[in-house]
Amino acid sequence: MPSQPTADPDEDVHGFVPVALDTLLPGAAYGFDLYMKQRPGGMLLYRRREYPVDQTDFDRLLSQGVRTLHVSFDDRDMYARYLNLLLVDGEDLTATQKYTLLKGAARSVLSDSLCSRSPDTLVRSVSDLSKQMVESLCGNELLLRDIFFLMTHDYYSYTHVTNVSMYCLTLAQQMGICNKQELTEIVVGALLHDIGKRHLPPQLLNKTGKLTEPEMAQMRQHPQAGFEDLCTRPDLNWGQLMMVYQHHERLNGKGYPAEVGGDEIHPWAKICAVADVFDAITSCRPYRSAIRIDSAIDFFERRMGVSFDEEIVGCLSSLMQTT
Amino acid sequence: MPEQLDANDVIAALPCAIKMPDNWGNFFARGGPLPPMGDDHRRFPRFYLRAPAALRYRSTLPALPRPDHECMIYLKDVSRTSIAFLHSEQLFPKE
Repeated sequence: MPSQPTADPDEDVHGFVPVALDTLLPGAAYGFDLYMKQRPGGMLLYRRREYPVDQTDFDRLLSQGVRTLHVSFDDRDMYARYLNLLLVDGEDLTATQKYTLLKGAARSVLSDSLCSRSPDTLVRSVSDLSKQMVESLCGNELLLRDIFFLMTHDYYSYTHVTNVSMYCLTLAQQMGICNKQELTEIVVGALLHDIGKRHLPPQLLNKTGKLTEPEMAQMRQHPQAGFEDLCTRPDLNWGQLMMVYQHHERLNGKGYPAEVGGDEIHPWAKICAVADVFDAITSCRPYRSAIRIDSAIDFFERRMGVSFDEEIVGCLSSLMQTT
Repeated sequence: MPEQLDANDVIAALPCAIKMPDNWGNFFARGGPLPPMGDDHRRFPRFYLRAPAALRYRSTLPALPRPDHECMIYLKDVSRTSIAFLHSEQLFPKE
């Protein structure tokens, strides 16, 4: 009988967000500490904030296959400011250089979510497909443009959507979806599911205290805002749009924005709902720490059939027991 | 002289799949302004408007083809800028 994990294998790396090497210009001190992921799980301080990283350091990292470093959760705002200065306000780089840099950044962070986590978490079986998928996604300029907006608006939301896309891919496969085109569409939908958050102020997205009722109402607008942004696009299908619009709907009709339930929720949105909450509760958030995987599974099992689809929760639970 | 068509007859002839709960027997009897609600931030007051009406579909979203057709809906209430109605099918923003 497979053993139930007692803790997240990646527990030691919680509290960090990945940053692509491509977004760090050599020769500068960045104002935030940089960490390197160790195997087995854990983080090693790579460079203190006051010391620069030069081209030789970058070459050495790349020769070791390292394409992402990490910053602590507390430093994520500093990194977001750095990214904004570089990519939005910066005049040192041409538009083409910025685009190339962002494309590299997207590839690294997507790889980190879709591929690099796989040996120690639940996506071992999909890593080959993930690698192909990252290449395919990075060739989708419309998708890149959308997620770049989110990346520069709120970096945490960006890393969240990349994690959710990995969980959606894994769950979809476990549910029996094996068509590569369909799986890619699900991953794209997951990458876009929180795109409406770019309309919300970062201060609200990263608020550490409890949200007030008006703030909650504002937060609840993001699925509809995202849907309205994307619904006239001919390159997205209905399932993808429903992942954006319905990922906060619940089976019992007590979700939002439309309070629909049961079969009125698209199957892909049901997968996205589980993946979204799973990443939210197993990652550090501005307002609370991560919970352990066994506690997360318990959370879902108590709500399956009421808030979340039983079959999808069963798949999640079974995936966790086999990793 | 062509026969004058009555709007109510036209609406009544349209397909309708709405199933009202049994205890909504007085649905069409309501009138006047809606009472204010606790978390109401509406700019304009809403008024009950309970009557059958015709809904015409036109496809507006590329990912959701809607064949042009008409069906019966039940109006619920109106304000200066919006209208609420009962329908048997989920509609989406920008439709």
